[in-house]
Amino acid sequence: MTDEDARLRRLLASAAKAPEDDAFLTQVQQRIEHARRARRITIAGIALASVVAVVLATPVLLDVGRQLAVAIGLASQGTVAILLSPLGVLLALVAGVALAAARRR
Amino acid sequence: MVGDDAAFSELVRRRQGTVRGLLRGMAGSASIADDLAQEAFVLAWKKIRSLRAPAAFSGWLRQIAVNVFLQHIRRAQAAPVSILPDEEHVAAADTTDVDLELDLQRALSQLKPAERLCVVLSYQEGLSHSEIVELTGLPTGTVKSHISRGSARLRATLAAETTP
Repeated sequence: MTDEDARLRRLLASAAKAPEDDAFLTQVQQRIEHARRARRITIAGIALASVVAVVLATPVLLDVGRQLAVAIGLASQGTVAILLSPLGVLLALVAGVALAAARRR
Repeated sequence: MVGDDAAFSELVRRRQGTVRGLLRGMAGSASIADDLAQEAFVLAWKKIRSLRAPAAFSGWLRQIAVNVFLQHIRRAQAAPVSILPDEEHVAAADTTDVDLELDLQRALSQLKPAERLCVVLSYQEGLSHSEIVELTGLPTGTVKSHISRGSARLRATLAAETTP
């Protein structure tokens, strides 16, 4: 390190610490309080939005569930009807033969 | 919560001089530096739970201060403002100290922000090149050239100002 470097280092190091200031602390505390209030408002907003979303979505979800149940019921009725028809019996026979052939291999 | 607030206020009280001093060197203006220092302390308050080792507090706080300054540079590049040292903040008792500090602030304010950052971290904080690279995220070559060019300009400006 050259003398010039050392001098510059000393000069900068002497200015490294600013004097203590109570007003600075007060301003930091005010900013923290502001940030805390903003955080509380955000959390309350998210909670409110979630409640509203649940209230609005419940009837829709119930309706979708009911329609799904109806669809599943109709589909199972259709499957039973097909299996009990002559075509169903024929299909079951074909499937049984294919299964037996596959097992023998 | 009240205890936490009191403890954090004590931390601000103890560290404000160092953080404000660091940012005064980097920002080249006391009023901007104090504003950035407040921002850094608020960020530290928000992130304090992420600090695992209390012994690393000083380095952690310095990292936050440097990040706040880097963000400030980016914002300033988007909307450039001239930085001049504000004399009312240099209120030391000794006139010679005031003159010297003003000269230093004026000389620092003539450097580019990134040069100022590297020079202050190297000369004021005494950090090595690799530590500055880690802290700022700048490439090693850039850090070295900023320090070399910045310190040369700083020396030249100070020499010109102190020569009668």
